[in-house]
Amino acid sequence: MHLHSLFLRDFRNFLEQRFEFGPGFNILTGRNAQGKTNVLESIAVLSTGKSFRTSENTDLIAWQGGPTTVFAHVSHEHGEDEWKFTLFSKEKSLERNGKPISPRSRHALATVLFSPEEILLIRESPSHRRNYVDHLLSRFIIGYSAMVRSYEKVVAQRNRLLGDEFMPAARRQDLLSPFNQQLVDIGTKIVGYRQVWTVRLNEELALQYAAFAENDDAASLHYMPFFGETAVGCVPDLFWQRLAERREDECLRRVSLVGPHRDDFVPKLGSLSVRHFGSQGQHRSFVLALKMAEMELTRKILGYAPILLLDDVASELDEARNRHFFDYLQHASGIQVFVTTTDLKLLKVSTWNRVRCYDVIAGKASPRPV
Amino acid sequence: MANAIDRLIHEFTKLPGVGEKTALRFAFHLLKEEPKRAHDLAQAVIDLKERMRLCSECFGLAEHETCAICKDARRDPTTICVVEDPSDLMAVEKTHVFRGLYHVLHGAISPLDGIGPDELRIKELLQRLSLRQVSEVVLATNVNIEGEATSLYLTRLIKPLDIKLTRLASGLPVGGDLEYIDATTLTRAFEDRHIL
Ligand SMILES: Nc1ncnc2c1ncn2[C@@H]1O[C@H](COP(=O)(O)OP(=O)(O)O)[C@@H](O)[C@H]1O
Ligand SMILES: [Mg+2]
Ligand SMILES: [Zn+2]
Repeated sequence: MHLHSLFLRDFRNFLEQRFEFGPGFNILTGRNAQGKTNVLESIAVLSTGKSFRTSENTDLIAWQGGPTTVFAHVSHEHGEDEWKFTLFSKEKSLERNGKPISPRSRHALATVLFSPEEILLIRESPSHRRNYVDHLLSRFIIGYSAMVRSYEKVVAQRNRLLGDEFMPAARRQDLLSPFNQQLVDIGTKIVGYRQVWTVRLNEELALQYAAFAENDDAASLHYMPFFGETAVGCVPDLFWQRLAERREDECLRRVSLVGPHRDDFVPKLGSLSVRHFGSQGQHRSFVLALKMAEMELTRKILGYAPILLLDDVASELDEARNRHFFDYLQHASGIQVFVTTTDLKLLKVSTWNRVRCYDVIAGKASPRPV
Repeated sequence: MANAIDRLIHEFTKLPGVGEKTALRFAFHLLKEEPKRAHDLAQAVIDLKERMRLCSECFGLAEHETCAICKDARRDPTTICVVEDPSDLMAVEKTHVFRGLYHVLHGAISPLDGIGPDELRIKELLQRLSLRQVSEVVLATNVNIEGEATSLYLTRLIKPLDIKLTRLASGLPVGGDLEYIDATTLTRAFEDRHIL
């Protein structure tokens, strides 16, 4: 897959800009606050329908203008697609070939992002990691994101019943029961998918991580289902069991306490939690390896590599890791990469073949020979 | 008071899915038509409110005490199909696959919307089942969380009554209102309904 042209109008500090990108490495250089990350952000927006830096869509609209348009041509083995994102005050739309498309669809533009903030994936709450895994799985499993949304609806319905303090207890249980059944039915499917797919992801993750740090123990995103990892029995049985055990608790705390919305995925090296025992370097390597694993898995399942967006990675990694990383990327075939950097010399590029470069200065980009 | 055309446009825009432009087209269209057309439309609108009510038996739409379906002697009174809304009833009717009677709940259980069993015609359904000879109840609530919850709730109530209880076959698109499901799919779901 290869995004070969990108057009921005009134996106952040780009008023009107056209880019022609190559199928290999595309580097955006420039001093700080010139708009390098904005370019990656615009590509991510075509993929996920939203920014990775802000939850306010309107932040994306150029201060002096709008409406905002991001337009790209992406070619792949079956032909070429036109992707278009538009944003006008609060109205946004994402289209592929002129037809609306959901970013949660399996046909969404696949990108993998690595930015300094991604390190937080290790430190932040379990919900971030669940969202990360769910987003990944929705790329592979038809109907997975609809399943997760249904599940969330069941939880919301239950929470409303649990939160109603005037409802007599017997009546509450009476009304909870049809939702419990669905909680268990849909929840069990979600657990099943998460179990199967973390195993597959972890195979890739261990390999990728080992390439960075061969002396460390195997890396994994360890799945911790809500019923505990040591529990024995089939999932629906454990589910019903936990529901019964936590019944009083749920009424007391007035929220749903049982189900995959309480799952976690714990980053581990061997049996140790990276979050608690890992060095800064290990945190970085872990997340980077995770992104590589995500890319390799996507490539295996969908048959093509997602577009890789690397924001300021060079400053995040030490020289050896840097060298290894770029070497890997340049030798892996069929991966289109976008990299930002303040200094070309920081990138340990092994060959200048198939590399294109743009200089970004105050919202204007111009091709630069390498 | 505004003139008649402005008033009519204003009333049209209150209808679902009708914007200013469409309302304008409707109004000018009627203006050009013969007086009888406008009169028929007005009468139909008035009749809707004055003559339509809920059938006292099934709570579907009726022009009299009981609806045309409940009155139809050719329909099998021992089979009752439970749907959420009158529009779902119409969707099932269109398929001609079902020859029994209906029961319209007027909604589905949804705590988030403040709708519990008491807000639905569930009591009336149970009463019907206790008074009439019913051998099968088909649960045809929508295929979403609330429809499914309603079906599960009804299952618990009806199961002990020793009446055959069926649910439309899975395979219907998830999240779908019956009224938006095409007739072929709905027919198949009916024919392949499974026993609960
Ligand atoms: N909505 C906007 N309209 C115009 N300029 C913006 C907008 N949002 C951010 N900017 C500008 O974009 C620049 C930051 O761009 P960014 O891509 O983060 O820089 P970097 O090159 O360091 O990655 C800043 O100069 C900021 O003022
Ligand atoms: Mg930046
Ligand atoms: Zn009737």
